[in-house]
Amino acid sequence: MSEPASRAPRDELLVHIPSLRAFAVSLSGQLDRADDLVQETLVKAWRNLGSFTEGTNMRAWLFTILRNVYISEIRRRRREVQDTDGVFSENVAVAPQQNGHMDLEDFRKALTDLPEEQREALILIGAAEFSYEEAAEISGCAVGTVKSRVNRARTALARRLNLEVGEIGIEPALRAALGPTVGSGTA
Amino acid sequence: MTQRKPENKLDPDVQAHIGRQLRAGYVDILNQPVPDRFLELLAELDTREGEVNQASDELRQNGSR
Repeated sequence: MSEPASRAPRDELLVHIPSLRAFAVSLSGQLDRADDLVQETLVKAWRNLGSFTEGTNMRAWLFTILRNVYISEIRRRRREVQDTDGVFSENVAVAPQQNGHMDLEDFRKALTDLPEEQREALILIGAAEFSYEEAAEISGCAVGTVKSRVNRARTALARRLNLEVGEIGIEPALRAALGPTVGSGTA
Repeated sequence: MTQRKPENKLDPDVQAHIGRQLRAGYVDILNQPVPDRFLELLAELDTREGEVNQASDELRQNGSR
């Protein structure tokens, strides 16, 4: 075996598996499905290592691959399932939480029900902590598009989780539970 | 970052809360150890690459006529 010049691709990929899984779970909402996405991503990445420019952001490169794998899987599913209307209206029809109590499970559900592209943008920015520019590159869209998707996603989540203040105002108890705006939320 | 509010007015507390929830789910997975299936996969890809390289070397040698 010849000596690799830099770190072996295997080790390089290994480093990014945890964040790929986190991204895949957040996108798909299912651990099993997420790990299948990661698996396909790793195989694709391995085959295309030659097209990765060394010194650039490998995490962003891998996220792009995973994102594309995910999108094409969704398209395939939509083709396979003729009656997609039923599936999607079912998602939309979920009643909003009335009690203002939100745990992680409610949040996860609400996240899953967001339109794909909004969820993707929100995860890239809010969870994976990419810049808007990086997120735009990963999603193959304009920076402004990412920003507006993130905004729409946040608004939709807030509404869905009964967090929206608007005219009503947020309950004092809930506000207290949310903790200070700035500062670490010690739960 | 510019703090100009877009058309919708999201309370900063709400936004921070959404951010925390989002991050919590993400970090939860991030901190998990890499499942064995991926270690096995990478090992397998590594091995297979060795074979492919060998094959393409042979191809190149045979193909040069």
